[in-house]
Amino acid sequence: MKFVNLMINEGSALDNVAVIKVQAIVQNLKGSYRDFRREMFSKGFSASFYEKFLYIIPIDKVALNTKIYNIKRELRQYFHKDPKNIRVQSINLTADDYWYPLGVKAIRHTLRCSIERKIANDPELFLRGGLQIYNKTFERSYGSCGILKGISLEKVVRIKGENNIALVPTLRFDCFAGNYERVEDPTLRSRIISRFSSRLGPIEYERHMDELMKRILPIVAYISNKKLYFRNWKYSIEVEEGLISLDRWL
Amino acid sequence: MLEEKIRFETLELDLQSFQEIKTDRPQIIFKDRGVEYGKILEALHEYGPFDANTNSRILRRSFNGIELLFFYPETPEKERIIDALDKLAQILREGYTACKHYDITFDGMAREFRLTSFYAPERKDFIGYKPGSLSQSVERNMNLIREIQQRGNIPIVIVGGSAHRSSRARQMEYIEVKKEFTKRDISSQYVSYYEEGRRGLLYSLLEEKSPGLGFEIWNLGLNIYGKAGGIAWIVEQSLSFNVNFADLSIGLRFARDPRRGGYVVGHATILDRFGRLVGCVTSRPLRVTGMTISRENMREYLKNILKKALSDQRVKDVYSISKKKVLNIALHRLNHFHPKEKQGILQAINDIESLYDFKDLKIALISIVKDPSLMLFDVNQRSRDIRWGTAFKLNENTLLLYTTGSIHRYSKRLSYPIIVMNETDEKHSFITKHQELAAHILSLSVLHWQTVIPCSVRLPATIEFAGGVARLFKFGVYPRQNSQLEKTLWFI
Repeated sequence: MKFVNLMINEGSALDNVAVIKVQAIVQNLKGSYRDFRREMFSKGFSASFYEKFLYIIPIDKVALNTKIYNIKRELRQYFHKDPKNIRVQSINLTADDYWYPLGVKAIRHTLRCSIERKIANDPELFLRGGLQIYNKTFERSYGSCGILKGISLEKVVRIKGENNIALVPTLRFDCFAGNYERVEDPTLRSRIISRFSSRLGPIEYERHMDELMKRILPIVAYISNKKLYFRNWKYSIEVEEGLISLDRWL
Repeated sequence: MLEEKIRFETLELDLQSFQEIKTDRPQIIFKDRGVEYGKILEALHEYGPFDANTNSRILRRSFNGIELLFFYPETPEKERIIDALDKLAQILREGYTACKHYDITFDGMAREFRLTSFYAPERKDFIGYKPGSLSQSVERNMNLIREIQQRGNIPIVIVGGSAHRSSRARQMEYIEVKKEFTKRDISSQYVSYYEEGRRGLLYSLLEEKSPGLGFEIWNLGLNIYGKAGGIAWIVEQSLSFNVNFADLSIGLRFARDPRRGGYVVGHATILDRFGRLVGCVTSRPLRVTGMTISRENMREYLKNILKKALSDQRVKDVYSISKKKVLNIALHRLNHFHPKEKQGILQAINDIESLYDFKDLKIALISIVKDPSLMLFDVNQRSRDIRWGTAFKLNENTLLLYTTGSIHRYSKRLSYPIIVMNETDEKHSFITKHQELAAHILSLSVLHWQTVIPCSVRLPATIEFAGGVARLFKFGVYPRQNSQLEKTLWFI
C-alpha cells in the first residue's frame, strides 16, 4: 500500500460555475491590475481578464444576484470607461480554455480566503505568500534566526474526466528571524535551509505534514455557486508489490 | 508527412488509471559481451572502461595516454593550492587507499582506466598565472601542449582555484579558465579550494583529519576520462520487449543570460548504437528572448542538430552495416513543449525525411518536470521510502518516476521523483507504453559518465548535459565547430 500527497476535492465539480462576465480590458483600468485584483479580493471576488472580458467570480457564500447588483457600482470607480455588457455566464473552470486564465487563480483566491478565516483563530499559524501556512514554533534555531515549517497549497491540478480538482500539498521549510520576518540573505538561507531539510526522511516528512494538516483540515471554500471540500492529504493507492525487478539489481 | 494535433499539454491526473508500472534496471556495460554491476566503480575497477575493451573499430578509444598540466592562480592562497595540487598529482599517479568505511580505493589513473601512459607533473612543473591574464600564460605554454599532442596523448589542464560552483564569489576565475582553454581546443578541469565554504576537492585534500575523499577522486578521474574523449561505460536500452529503441536522444535546456538578457538554449544529443547509448555530440547553442523557441528557429535548430548527429561516424557506421532504414528520435525538454515549438519540430522532421532515405521516422516529445510536488510514500516500509526505479502512472501518457533513491535497501532519506510526459500521439511515437517511457528515461539517467554515485542524478543525461552546454555558452565558452573537443564531454 502506498499513498500520494493529494487532496481531492470532495465537494462540487467545477463545471457550470456561474461567473460574472464584463466587457472590459485591462488597459482601461485607472490603476494597476495588481491593485485592482487585491481590492476585488478584499471584497470577496476573484477577478481575471481573459480575451477582452473581465471575469469576476465570487469567492464567498454571498448570493450571486447580490453580487451582480453591487458589481455595477463597484466597477465604475476602477475603469476609465464604464464596463459594458455585465452578465452571468456558466463556464467549466477546468476546461482547457479557462483553466489557467481563470480556474487556477480563482481556486487559489478562494483557498486563501478560506484559510485566512480559519487561521484567524489559531495564534500559532500565519499565512505567507500566496498559500503558504507556517507554524510559529521554531524547528531549529541558528543564532538570531531559525527554521519554521509550513505547508504550501499552491499547486492545483485537474482530475481528468471529472471536472474536478486536487491540491498537491508540500512541506516547506523557511528561514525566519525572531519576529517572524523572513530572512532575505541568500547565503544564510541556503546554508540553514538545506542543512535542515536535506536530512529529512520520509517519516519525518509525513509527521510534519500530519501535525500541520491536523490544524488546517478540513478546508471548505466557495467558488460562486460551488463548494470545495478537502478533508485528507493522503490519497491511498493499492499497488501490486514487487513490480520492480530486483533480481537483476541485488 | 508527420502531422499532429498541436496543443499545450498540462498535467491532468487520471485517478482511475493510477497504477505502479514495472521497471527494470538498465544494464551498464563495460565489455562487448555485457557486464552489469550494482556498483559501477567495482565493475570499472575490475574490467576497465568500455572503450578500452570493445572490439568495435568506431568505439574503441583512439588515444592511449593522458598527460596533465597543472595551473594555479597567483593569489594569497597560492601556497595552499600548490600543496593540494601536489597531493592530487600524487594520488592520480600512485593511487589512494580508502581510510574510512565510505571511502573508495583508487589505484591511479593509469591502472583504473587502462592507460598505457599517464603523466601528472611534479610540483616544480606547476604553472602559475595572474587571474585576468591567463591567456598570456597559456600562450607561453602552448608548445608543451603541442608536444603532448604530437606524442599521441591527450593534454588535459587541471586548474586549481578558489572559486566553487556553490558560490558566485570569484565565479569569473572559473569562467576565465574555461574560456581560455576551450577556445584553444584544450580540455580543462577546475579543482576547487573553497576555504570559506570548506568545500572543494583541494580543500578536502588538505584537511588535517583523515581526508576521507569518498567518491571525489573517482569523480575527478571520470571527468578527466570523459574530457579526453573516453567512454567509461555504455548503457543498454531496456526496451527488450520491443524491437524499437531511441536512435538519437536530444535534450534541450534553457539558461538565463542576465548580462545580455534573454536565454541560451543548449542541447546535447546522445547517440545510440545497436540499442546501446554510447556518446554525445553538441553544437552551437541558440539565443532566444523568452523560454520558448519560435517555430522557424526550432525548425532550423533541430534540422542542424539532426544533420550533425547523422553525420557522426558512430551513427553512420550503424546505418551502413545494418542497412538500417528507421530513425527514432526522442526529444527532451523541461516543462512542456510549446505548440509553436511542436510545429517547428514537425517541420524539421519532415525536412530530414526528405533529405535522407529513411523508410520510417518517428519522434517522441518527452517533457519533464524536475521538481513536481507529487510524492509517493510506501506505507509497508518503516521508513516510508520509495526505491530507485519506481514508476507510477498518473494518466495515459504521464509517469511519476524515481530516478534517484536507494537501489539496494530502503533509505532513510527522502527521494524526490520527476514527472515524465510523452507529448506525442501514439501514431508518430516509437514510445507507446509506460514501461518504455520509464525504461527510456531510466537508461539515460544512468548515462552520466561523471556520476559515480549510483542513482543520484534526477534528470536524464540529455537534459543535464544540455544544461552544462547552455550555462557555459552564456559566458561565451564554446569549442570551435567540428573540433575534436566538441566530441568530448567538455561541458561537464
